Amino acid sequence: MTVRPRSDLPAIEAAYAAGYHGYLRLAAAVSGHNDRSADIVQEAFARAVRARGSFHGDGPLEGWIARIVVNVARDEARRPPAPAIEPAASPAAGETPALAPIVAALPERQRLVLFLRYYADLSYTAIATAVGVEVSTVGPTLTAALRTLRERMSEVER
Amino acid sequence: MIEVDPAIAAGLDRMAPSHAAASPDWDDVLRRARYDRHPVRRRVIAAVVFVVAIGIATAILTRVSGVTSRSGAGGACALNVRYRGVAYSGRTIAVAPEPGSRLGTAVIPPCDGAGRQTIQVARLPGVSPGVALIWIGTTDTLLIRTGMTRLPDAVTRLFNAPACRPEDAPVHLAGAWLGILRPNGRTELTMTPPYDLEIFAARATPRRYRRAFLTVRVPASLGRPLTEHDIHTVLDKGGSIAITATCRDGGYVAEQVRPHPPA
Repeated sequence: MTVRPRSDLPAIEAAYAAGYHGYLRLAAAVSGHNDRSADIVQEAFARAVRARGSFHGDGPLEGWIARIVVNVARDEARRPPAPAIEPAASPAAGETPALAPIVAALPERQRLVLFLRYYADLSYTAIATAVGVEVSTVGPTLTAALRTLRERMSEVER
Repeated sequence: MIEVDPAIAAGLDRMAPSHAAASPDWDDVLRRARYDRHPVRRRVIAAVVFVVAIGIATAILTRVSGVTSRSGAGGACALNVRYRGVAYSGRTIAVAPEPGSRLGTAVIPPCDGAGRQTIQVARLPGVSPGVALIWIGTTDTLLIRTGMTRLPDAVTRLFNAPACRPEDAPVHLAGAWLGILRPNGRTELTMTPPYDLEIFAARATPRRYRRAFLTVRVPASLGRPLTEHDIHTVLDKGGSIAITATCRDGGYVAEQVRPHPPA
């Protein structure tokens, strides 16, 4: 018999402690609101705590939680931005061009896989759980995203 | 973290900078999770999860693979019940009917490691037991014969909470306090209205609102009728709440809110 991954409170708390800063960056990237990322992560984990009975170990717990973080962040993205307290960081002269518009132009799935891998540092299996795709498609999707970013950045630099 | 081109890494880091100074606050997570306990509506889910957990634990302890069934690749056990050879499915309702005469024992088949469970069922007044059954002891779930496409009005009227009728105002509601959320569905933390209270109206005047699961908007004009203390002493403890409400566009708007700790 396969022993399922735990979905009890200590397991979620452990995932929170271990991945907190990665989830913050994931929330900021998906929502576009750096200033709200902490609230998004708190809300997402509160939902995970409430819904922990619905996790049946069909994938890594971290992937299931990441999906909740992404969903809450997407909800947040629909809200208008808060008044800016500080101007957004912009590249200084000689720096690389802004990546945000290039990332924004990526297909949704590529963008999400990139965020989950780079910011949350999730395994391919956890990313597959979070996005709802086959594990075998994660690598090619990530490769395609990075290739597109390289190509478009070089076009902008020319 | 994956290795990417320095230029791409720099851009990604600029899009979502590292929040090194931010510190996790697990107590805040638990507090937010508690504010939407919804104990009555989750009783059935909790019962099924409990049975599943017991089943899994038993299987692990005995190292025996039991004869189980799964409802699908997702692994979630839907609430399926058999009574006298007929299959019924659980459906969430917004108005709890009064149970009719007791019918006897129904069975929840084994699922996902959980063993067989028996429950007591009763007649839904005015409806054939071949169409729907009441699970005695639950208020938010009705058992409906699997595959039924046309349901009698006595059943379908239970699916939606009654709209607030202006001619009924003021509406007096009292019953279990189920939760408190901001209008956008997010967790209420500041206790500053507007927010939504969820109540199971065990008592109501007029009676048409009785035994309904209702959402009542608390407007900003009410000040701060509830406090953090009420969360800890009433909501967390399974207490009740009494609300006097008026009607706006079919919805309920509180005019007065009074929390009551459990006796």
